[in-house]
Amino acid sequence: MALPRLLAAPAATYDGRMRLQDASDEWLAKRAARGDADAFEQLVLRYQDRLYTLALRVTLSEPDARDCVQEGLISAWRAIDRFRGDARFSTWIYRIVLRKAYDVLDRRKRTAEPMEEILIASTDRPADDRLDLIAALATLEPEFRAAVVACDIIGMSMDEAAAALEVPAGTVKSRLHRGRSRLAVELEAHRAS
Amino acid sequence: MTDNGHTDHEQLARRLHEQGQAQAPPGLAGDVMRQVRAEPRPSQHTWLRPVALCATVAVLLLAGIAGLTRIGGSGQSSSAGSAAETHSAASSAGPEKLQGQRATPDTVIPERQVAGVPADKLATLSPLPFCAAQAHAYALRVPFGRYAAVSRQLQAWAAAKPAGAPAYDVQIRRAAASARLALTCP
Repeated sequence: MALPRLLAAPAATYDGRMRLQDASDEWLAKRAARGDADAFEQLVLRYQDRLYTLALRVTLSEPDARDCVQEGLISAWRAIDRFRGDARFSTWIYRIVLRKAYDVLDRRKRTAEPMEEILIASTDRPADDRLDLIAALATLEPEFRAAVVACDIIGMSMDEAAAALEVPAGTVKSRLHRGRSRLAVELEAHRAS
Repeated sequence: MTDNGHTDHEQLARRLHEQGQAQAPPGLAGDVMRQVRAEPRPSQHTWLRPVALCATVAVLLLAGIAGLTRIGGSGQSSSAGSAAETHSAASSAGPEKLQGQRATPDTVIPERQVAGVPADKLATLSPLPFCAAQAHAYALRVPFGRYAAVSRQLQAWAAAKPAGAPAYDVQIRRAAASARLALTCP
């Protein structure tokens, strides 16, 4: 009987080494903790889009999102020997990047940074309804937006989102529900106008 | 939640998932990895950490035991007639000599001995006590801040001692800053 994918050892190449592309996140993280930069690079390649999406939809700014991901990944590399295998690597790295994103929002609030750039100067030019959706998402308060982004855009489970957002699962559920409701109202208003 | 509302939310979630994705800017991973590779790598020998920790603890324990043994040993030797040893060492090694460590409540090591300090000069510092056991030496307890000055003064007096004048060997003991300068029996 075939083993479930997570339990199975990564495939070995002809010279006996693990193929990094096939390895689990946790295995790569362990290798990275021993100083294997190639293993860490595999994690970077695997997560960069999801981390960037998370940071972009929370901070609403491309340069800030890029900084969050870059700084988050460097922080992760420095702290990877403290990563405990009892949690999922994805949750751990999402939490690091989310903290960076929250730092950006706090800084923005303190310095009252102008929001012009924020109505997403996205490089991937959206279709009309897509623009509506992203613009509506931007109107949500950060804690509701973060819950919606984590669960609906990134696809985290409720528990995973709770761990990444560092709030109880019940709070995520309630924020997600309220976030979606307000998003629906915003979209409706946008369409009507 | 109504069925309608539930369906709305599900549709919204699906749209968000489909339309909310973004791609990392080109070069982001490269920039990260350049920085990662430029940084010192985390230890590749994580097993060394507990070993190093145990070794450090063992060394500290051994150092502590050695220190305690030493204090105990020097305490014994000082009680076994250090005055005589001090006097003979001072006579053979000149006017000034650093002594070994001694743990007494009010002294701070190291001690210093100045030989041949004229009695009349010494009496200006403090009344000379009567010591039954040792006729040629005194201990001088000096507050911490005055140690260097008093030490220099004693050496100057010893150097200028007139021939044949009564003199004593003085063992200077550094005491706490709040202590009073006093001559005692060694």
